[in-house]
Amino acid sequence: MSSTRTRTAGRRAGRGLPLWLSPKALGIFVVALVALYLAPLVLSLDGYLHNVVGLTFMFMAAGLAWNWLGGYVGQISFGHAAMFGTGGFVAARLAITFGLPFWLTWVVGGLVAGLYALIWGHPTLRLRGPYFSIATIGVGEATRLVATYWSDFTGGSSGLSLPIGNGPTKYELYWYGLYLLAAVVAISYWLRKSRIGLGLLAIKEDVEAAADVGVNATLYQDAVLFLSGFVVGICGGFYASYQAFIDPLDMFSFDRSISFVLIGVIGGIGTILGPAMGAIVFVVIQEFLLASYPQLYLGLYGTLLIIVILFEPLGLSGLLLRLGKRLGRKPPASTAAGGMGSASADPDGAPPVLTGVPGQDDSKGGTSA
Amino acid sequence: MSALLVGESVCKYFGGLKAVDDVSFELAEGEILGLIGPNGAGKTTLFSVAAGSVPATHGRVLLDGKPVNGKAGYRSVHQGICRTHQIVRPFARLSVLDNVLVGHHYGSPEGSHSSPRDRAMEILDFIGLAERANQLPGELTLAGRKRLEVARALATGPRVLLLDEVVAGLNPVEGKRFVDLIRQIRERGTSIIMIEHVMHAVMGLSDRIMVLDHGRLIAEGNPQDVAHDPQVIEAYLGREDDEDGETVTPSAEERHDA
Repeated sequence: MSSTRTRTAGRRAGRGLPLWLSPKALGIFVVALVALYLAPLVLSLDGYLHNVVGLTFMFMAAGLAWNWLGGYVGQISFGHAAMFGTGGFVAARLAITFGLPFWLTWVVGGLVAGLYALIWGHPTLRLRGPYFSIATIGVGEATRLVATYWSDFTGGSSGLSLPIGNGPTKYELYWYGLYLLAAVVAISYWLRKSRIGLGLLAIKEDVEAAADVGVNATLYQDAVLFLSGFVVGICGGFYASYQAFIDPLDMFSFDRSISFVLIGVIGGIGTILGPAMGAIVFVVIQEFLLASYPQLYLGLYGTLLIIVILFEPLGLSGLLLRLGKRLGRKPPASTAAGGMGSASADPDGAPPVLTGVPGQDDSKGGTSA
Repeated sequence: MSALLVGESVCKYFGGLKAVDDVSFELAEGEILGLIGPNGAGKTTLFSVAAGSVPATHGRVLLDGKPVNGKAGYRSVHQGICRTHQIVRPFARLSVLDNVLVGHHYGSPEGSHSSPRDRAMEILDFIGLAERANQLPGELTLAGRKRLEVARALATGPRVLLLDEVVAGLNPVEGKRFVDLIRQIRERGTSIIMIEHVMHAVMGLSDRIMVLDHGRLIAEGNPQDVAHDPQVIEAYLGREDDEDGETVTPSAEERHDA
């Protein structure tokens, strides 16, 4: 109880800031943003590395956006490539046909992707747990097939090439990726720490009990899916600008959907730092290992996924939490709520609830001490 | 006394089964209304309809003259009616404090409080869980989890609280404490309808009692009259003491039907 008091007092100290925003987090955010903004200007990075870091920012943003739905609400989507591709192709088409400025094509692409997510999401979000996941696989695959055969719009299997000189160069995209990431991190933090975050966690734990205390689950889930689809759609537009060429097989592929899941799960589902770290691991594997050993692709990801789910459901951020505990820091009880073991799954078959709370024994010890 | 919550010929049918059949009721401001009846009598179904989580087949429920419709459960919470569950459903991986905060943020607490946290701590203090605010619900005893369920409902600022068997399953000491707690909740200005199998609790607390059997209202009145009502005795006849009768065993049902 005493810790509650001090926390309340700490929040009040930051006057002028909303209750959910801690001055420390704001400080770290600003410092990181400035450092990353200046890094390429100060350090002379290798050009290839510079570009890959820019791409990593995009994957971080996409992973975080996936995580709003997968981690905060507990609805694991295996179909986010549908929005990634929609955003990418709408953006590319707008650039090619109308010659709109790139940022506008990204935003419009994102909006279309978000609306598309709403159309299939509103009915399917009534499903929970594995049932929702299966539905998203269907949505993703159906979208891929439609896109592949709709060659007037997507160029079919030969894809679309962006007009040269329309968008920013790969070198410039680093900073646009950074802006995108910064916005997404800010939204993630807000969704997590504000009272909305608490409502989302309540939905994740028990939809009906949440409704019984006044949470409008349908509205919140729809809103989160729209927001998630919007950002992933913008990421698709970014990716189109980055590659200057996109085709439906790549943009809408199941691998693409899986990559968002991987980023979230490897890094730590339901956390903010997690998907960011997961994106680094993902890009490192993809760019540096797979270029040399393409045959290892799926095997490697599968192995990683199994290791994470078996040994550390909170992923890399779970490892960090453990490390922090070794160093004597006690996380708040609700930190564990992010875990992979989603309580939304059938409560009868729910041993994951235990595995989702890796630190429970430790935190017990911590409170009694 | 004016009626706060009114049920007008509420019916709820599941196919051919009349779970609740033409039940009318009134709850006055500041009243505790007991709802008893054998297992399967339709008490919890009536609760779900009154709480707006399921729509009535016929009839309607009015809170302060405004209909509580069963289309979306969260909406009736905003109207000022909140229920607890017979089998407690805490948000397992949110701390006790956060559980209460969910109710506070998404309910309809009257007036704005200086800090949601202070308000939630005040409720936890009242309910007797303040020292456990930072624990997870799984670390509480059953009595503690039932208290949490009530605390979370109270945090939504209800005018009407529907308590579904909160005393059942507790040992006599805990049960006695809970009875005192319910009395205090009423004194704070919340009207209560309670389903309860523990007779001394429901008899001692209720201003009035309604008895359901097979979905129909068979008796209503003050506790003493209801306890001596021949129809009520008949409804319970042949049954063992109901204190631990929350599990519906087929044999109990058959005996009841016979």
